[in-house]
Amino acid sequence: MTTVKSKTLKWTLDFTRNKHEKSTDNVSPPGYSQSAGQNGTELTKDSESSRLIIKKSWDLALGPLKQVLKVPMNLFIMYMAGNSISIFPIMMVGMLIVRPVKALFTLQTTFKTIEGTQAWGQKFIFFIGNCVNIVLALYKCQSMGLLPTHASDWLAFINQPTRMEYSGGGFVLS
Amino acid sequence: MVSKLICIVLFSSFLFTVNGLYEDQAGKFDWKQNYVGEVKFSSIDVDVTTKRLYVATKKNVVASLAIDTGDIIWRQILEKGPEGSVELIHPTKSKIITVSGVDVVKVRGWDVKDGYLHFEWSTETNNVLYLFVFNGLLHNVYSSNNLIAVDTYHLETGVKGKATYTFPAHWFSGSDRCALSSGSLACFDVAGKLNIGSLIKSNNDRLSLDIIGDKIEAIPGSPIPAFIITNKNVEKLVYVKENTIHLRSLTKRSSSFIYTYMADRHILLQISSPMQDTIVTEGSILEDSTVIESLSSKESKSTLKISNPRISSAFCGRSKANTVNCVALVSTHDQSLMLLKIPGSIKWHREESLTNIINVELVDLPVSDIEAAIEKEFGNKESFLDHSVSTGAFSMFVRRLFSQLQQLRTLFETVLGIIETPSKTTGTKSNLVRDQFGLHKIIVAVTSAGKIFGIDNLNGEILWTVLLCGVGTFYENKVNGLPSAPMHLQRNSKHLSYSPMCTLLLKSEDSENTVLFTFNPINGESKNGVTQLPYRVVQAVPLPILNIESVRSLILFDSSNSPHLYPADVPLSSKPPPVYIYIANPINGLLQGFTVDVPISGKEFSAKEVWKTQFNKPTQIIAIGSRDAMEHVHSQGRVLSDRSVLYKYINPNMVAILTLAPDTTHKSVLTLHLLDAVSGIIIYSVVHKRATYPIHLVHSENWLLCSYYNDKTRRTEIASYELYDGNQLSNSTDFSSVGGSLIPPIVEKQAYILPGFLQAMKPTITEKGITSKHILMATTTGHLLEVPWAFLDPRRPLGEPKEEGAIPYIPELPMLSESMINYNKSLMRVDGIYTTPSSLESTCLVFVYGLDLFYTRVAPSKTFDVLKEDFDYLVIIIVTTILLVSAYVTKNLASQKALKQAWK
Repeated sequence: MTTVKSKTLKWTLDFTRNKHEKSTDNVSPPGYSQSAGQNGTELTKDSESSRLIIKKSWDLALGPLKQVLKVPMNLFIMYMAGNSISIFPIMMVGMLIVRPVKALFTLQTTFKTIEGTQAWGQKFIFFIGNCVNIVLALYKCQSMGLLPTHASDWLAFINQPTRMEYSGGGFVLS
Repeated sequence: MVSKLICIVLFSSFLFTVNGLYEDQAGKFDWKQNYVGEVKFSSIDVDVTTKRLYVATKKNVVASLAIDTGDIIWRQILEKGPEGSVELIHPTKSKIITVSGVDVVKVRGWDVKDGYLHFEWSTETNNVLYLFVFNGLLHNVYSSNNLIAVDTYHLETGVKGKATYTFPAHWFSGSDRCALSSGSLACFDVAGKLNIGSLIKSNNDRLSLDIIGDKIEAIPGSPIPAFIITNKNVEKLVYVKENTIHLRSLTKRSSSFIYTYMADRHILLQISSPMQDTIVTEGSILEDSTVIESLSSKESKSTLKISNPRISSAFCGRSKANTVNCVALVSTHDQSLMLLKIPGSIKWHREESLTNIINVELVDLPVSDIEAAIEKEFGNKESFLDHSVSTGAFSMFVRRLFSQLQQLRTLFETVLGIIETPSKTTGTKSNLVRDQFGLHKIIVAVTSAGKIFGIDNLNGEILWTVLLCGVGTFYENKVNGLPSAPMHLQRNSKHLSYSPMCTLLLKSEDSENTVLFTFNPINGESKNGVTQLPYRVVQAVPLPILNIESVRSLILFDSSNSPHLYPADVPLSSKPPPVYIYIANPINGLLQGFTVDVPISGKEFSAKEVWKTQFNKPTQIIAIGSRDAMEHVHSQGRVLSDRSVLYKYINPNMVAILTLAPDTTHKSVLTLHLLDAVSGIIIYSVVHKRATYPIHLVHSENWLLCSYYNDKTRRTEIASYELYDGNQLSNSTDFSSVGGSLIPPIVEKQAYILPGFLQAMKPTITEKGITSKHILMATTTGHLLEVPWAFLDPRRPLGEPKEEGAIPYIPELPMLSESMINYNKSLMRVDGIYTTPSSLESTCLVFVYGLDLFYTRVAPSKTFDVLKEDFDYLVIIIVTTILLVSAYVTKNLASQKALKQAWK
């Protein structure tokens, strides 16, 4: 009866049981169910883990995008840093650029453990996300005036033009 | 408004912190030499306590020199030009009285001790013939209404004497046939008779003598009337004593001086220089021609280079051994001044011709022997074309061993202290080698006295002199009438197997043809250096290409407009681009442009006239401003506030022509033409009304500065022009004056007021042109100002600054005392400023010449490429060693710990 009861109500504990009535078997610790282990078959166990892996790897792949869209911490930092050129904004912009670039370079090692049918797509999404991050950082650089996009930035590389003709002279010597 | 202005001024003065000098830096990089100029009159102070010389010079300077050393004790500079020219000096016990000026005679009394002015009076005179002092009275001899009149003034007070003596004018036959000596006038009359009459008394007694002569000269400073009469190179001495004329023939060509020895005895001192390094003196009693043995001497000194010595003043006395000895102040034709002890030696020697420098060049020194060996071994073939280096393996190995042995030897010698470090012995000739930063150079200065000097730029020591006596005379600058000496450095010191070569253009002494004088600027030697040309050179232009002997050939343009190459018959290393030569004639106002296509063989080529511009009278070309050939422009544009570029218009062929024309309404009109010397196109013209002398022109990079005196507002103004191409660069790879677009450049212009008067103006120049430009200005107050070009920028904004770092426009230029780079060493009568780059990009070498010589170096953008002098080498060495040692120690400790942990 008790077994039936316990079977029907999985998480109930019966504390109203008579003290003198000695139970023959040890009560399982709370939350432990004997059947739980035997509930899923090998097949379901496998599909569960692979689902988890896929979920986890999607998390990983979407990480860079989430940084931008879901929790726009970077955007906020960028906004707060301002466009003045001083040590802290420069450091932040540097971090913003360096992190996605680093991530892109270590893309293969990051996705080494992850296999599956969606791996390629995840890699692509991860790549896109990092690219978006880089673009954002570059935009920040642009608004700070750090990108050599103006003619003035290339002025130092213009050489003195070579003379096609030579000239000389002065007052007549007399 | 005023406070705002003050704020702006303060702000701008902080923006450009000019390199001030610290107290302990004074005299470290700079030196100054004071001169007095060519001596006109002198007097020796016989007083034992003072022992001084007083001189008045052609540079309008009155000065006192120490008799023992020749150092200047005090120096007073009178007015410039004929207003200040000293006509006579008269020493008294406590004062030196000078009479100066032409139309207004100014008499001044200077304290003998310190040169303070005691009194001054002036009087207006005209037609002055002679001035002399007798009996404390200034006698002014002048001609008026067919009479020779003599006015007397009391010398110290200027009170006019009672009498005016008059003499009939007919026996005054012109100043070239008359001479005045000791108050007596000697004149040749029409019949060729010599009449001598005293101008002191109002009598008409005249002594006369039958003598034939071409020339009459008074013996300067003679106590009795004495004249030298020259007739066909035979000199005769005529003197008046006790109212009778005496005649004495002189045997040798020499300069004479008469000194009162005893009451009735005079000493005749004669001095001559048979050779450039020798002085010969002779002494005799004037009256009876007895030779005084002790006064006959012959002095030779190898470093001496003089010609035509002349005794300016002398003092004689009797020594203990009962012989006569003299001290004579000798001035020479080449304007050197020396004190001669007779018998004895030259006590001191001053090169006063350095006050008349007409051309300067700073020449790099050659590398040392060791460096030369290294260069020979590793030098690339392009820059050292002239090596005869064999390339065999064994010979190269031997050479390497040899050069390293040599290096080792010098290292040991330096360590053991056998030879001193080069910085200590700069003057000696063996150490005239190039230093690391190219700061040590030789100043080659050509003076109008016909003497060339080689001066060490680190300490101002004269290393060599060359006298151009008998070589040739100088060309004349027709604009200002001063002599000009075109000098070209044809080969610099970088070519190891050839010595450097400098060429000076001179006029032949006996024809109109040109003489080329070629010399080595390092030691002044010239072997077969004089080249007589069979034509007259009117312009010399260096070629852009060296010839196969590493000489920068000169195109010599003769008076018939045909070109020649010097050195001739030496082929060039490559085909030169077409060369355009422009010639401006200030007399007829003609400007001509020629093109010359020099073949690689350097033989047989001709010139073709390309363009011609005529400035009609009364417009006169007064100055031509061309860019320094050495100049590099690093930045091709200017960054604006919106980060776009305003490209500079840098036309290497552009020259600025300044013309001045009198005008009925505006008095004088100054016009600036910017002309392309290749095509002859006038790019831009601008007119300044009521602008007069002094005018100075500076042309550098893409800007020009023109300073003039504004007659209307009565102040010095500096007009600044800057040329821009616009927002697009027309052609980035090469520049051609022909065939390109004819879009005129954008000209920015602005004028500034200089609170002072300029004597000279010059921009700084650096090797690569990265360092910002400063303008050096010598003012009449004796300052040498270093003004950043940003202050003279025509784009200084009116109102709110639009460009970053731009200083708002204020018409007055600041004259900050920190920007006076000559600090308390005033520079008077500056003739010019010479700037040259050193091997350090930050540093520019400056040489200022005039009455004083001043050398210094400036760093317009601070010394960004060298460590500060007070850099603490010790601390950095200690810190580095400590860090290195600790790194090793901790590395060992860490590995030990790792080992222990692995065993646990």
